[in-house]
Amino acid sequence: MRDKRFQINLYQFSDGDAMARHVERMHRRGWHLEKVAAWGWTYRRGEPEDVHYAVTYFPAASVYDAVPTEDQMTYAEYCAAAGWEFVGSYGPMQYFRSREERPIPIETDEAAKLRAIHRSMLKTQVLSMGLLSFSILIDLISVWDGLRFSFLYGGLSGIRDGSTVWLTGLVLLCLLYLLVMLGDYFLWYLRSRWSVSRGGACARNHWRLHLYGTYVLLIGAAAGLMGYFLSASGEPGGMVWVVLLIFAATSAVIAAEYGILTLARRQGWSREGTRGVCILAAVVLALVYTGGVAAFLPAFQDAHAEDGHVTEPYTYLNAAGEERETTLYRDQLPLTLEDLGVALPENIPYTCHADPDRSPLAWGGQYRQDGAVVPAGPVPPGLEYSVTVFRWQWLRDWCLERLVSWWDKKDTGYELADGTAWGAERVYTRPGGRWYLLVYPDRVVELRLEQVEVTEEQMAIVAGRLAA
Amino acid sequence: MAREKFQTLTEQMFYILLCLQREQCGADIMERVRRMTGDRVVIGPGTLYSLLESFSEEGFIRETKCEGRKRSYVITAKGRERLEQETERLRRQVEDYVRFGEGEFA
Repeated sequence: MRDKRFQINLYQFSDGDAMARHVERMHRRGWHLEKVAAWGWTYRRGEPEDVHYAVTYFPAASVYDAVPTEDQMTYAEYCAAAGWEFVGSYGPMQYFRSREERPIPIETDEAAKLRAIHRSMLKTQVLSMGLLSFSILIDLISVWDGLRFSFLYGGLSGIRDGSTVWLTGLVLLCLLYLLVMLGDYFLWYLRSRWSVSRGGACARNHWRLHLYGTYVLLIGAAAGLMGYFLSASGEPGGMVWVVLLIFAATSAVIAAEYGILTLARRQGWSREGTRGVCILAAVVLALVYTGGVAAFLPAFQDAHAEDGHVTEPYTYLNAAGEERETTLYRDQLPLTLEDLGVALPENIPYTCHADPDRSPLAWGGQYRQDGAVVPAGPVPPGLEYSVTVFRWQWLRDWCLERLVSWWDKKDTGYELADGTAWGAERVYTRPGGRWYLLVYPDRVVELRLEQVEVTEEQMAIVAGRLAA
Repeated sequence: MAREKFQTLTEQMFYILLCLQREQCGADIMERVRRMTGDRVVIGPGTLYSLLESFSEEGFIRETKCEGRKRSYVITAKGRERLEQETERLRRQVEDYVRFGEGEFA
């Protein structure tokens, strides 16, 4: 039978009362609190007893302190004089235990209690959550920039790209969590201040909101990361290990940072020394982690670039008469030049490349059929198109509006044309007439035809192949 | 903020200052206030610590000696003045009660 047990602390940092009640319940079940750490509590098995716990806040204490400061010890001595035994602390949070039947509360002045909680919150949680929210906002700006870039140069591929959509969802979820938690804390603080100024007690915390919010974040983060990697590879089966690898790397970075903090504290370094080393280590670890992921992901995607494609090598002689090798794709396409009745030049090898995409918002793919090795002379016929099926029509309209308005800022913007022959709700064309944007009730087809003057008959074939 | 905080002394603040008219070790104040008030006013150790800290910052009390972690304090002239002001305020409050509470509004 094990004698030690670790438990994760999911209570809000400012909710010391709820934490005290929790460890009291554990003590009644025979688990005595032994140590307080960043993520939770360590218990040791003992006799089930009815004891009182109190969690108080000592704002001057820091997680970077090797040992409790003199002031902290004086505070603990005052508590000891009132029958409270010091159990442990993490940063400003102090845990005490009393075996007296009705001990004097450690805090008997609600205004002083609120001040201590608020000062502790400002220097720890509010600061870190604020910085994290800020960095997420910066991240979101880059995601939005990427989406805008996609509208301009990648058409609707951004909305079909599972990696982008999952990652954006994950980042938004984190931001929402942080803002809700910060908002909840400040509302609690304002309610408490109002109550205390009228002689009342500090307000009660919404501990359920924090607990369930944390569960939602953890489950959402796991789903988001899984979705991200599944989308990045397009290989559902073999991807679990990659997700696990990234989880392991993330956990290793967090463990390393925490390990350095623990080591520095054990060495008895000063608060400033420990803080400096921890910040330096955090920067180095973040760079190594980001660099590692940045190197690993493209390499991983490259390694899987030909997954799901039918390929064959093709050897040819370049203009200088040297032998070169390339890859011809032989993927199945929903629409080919042959379907349109276009004759392909016999001296040019054609490649058929299909790149299906799927995100929680839209799915479809990017397809092309063109000459892989084109000799000097007239450009041969070519076909390139994407199909984007939207989960919701409002999303289709929103994306279309963005796409068209981005291109409107260019000289070569889209113009509305008659869509009857295409069987579409409406059609946009770009000057030159080779670019078409076909709008159907559930989807949008972006079509580019090279060296093909499209006839009404071919328009009907496109509608039959791509709009169904 | 600190000045606003001490515009009116709470009972706990009042009794801490009252205790410190004689040099006193911080931890002993809790017990002494209990005895002085017959258990009516109880000061928690956390509250005592933060009030002593605030009083020191405000110059109402000063540390007289520090033996290990045992720190003793005594009230300053500024603190005594504040205590007397509060006593005067309370005395007037009682007088008003006697004058009006039992007569006009009874």
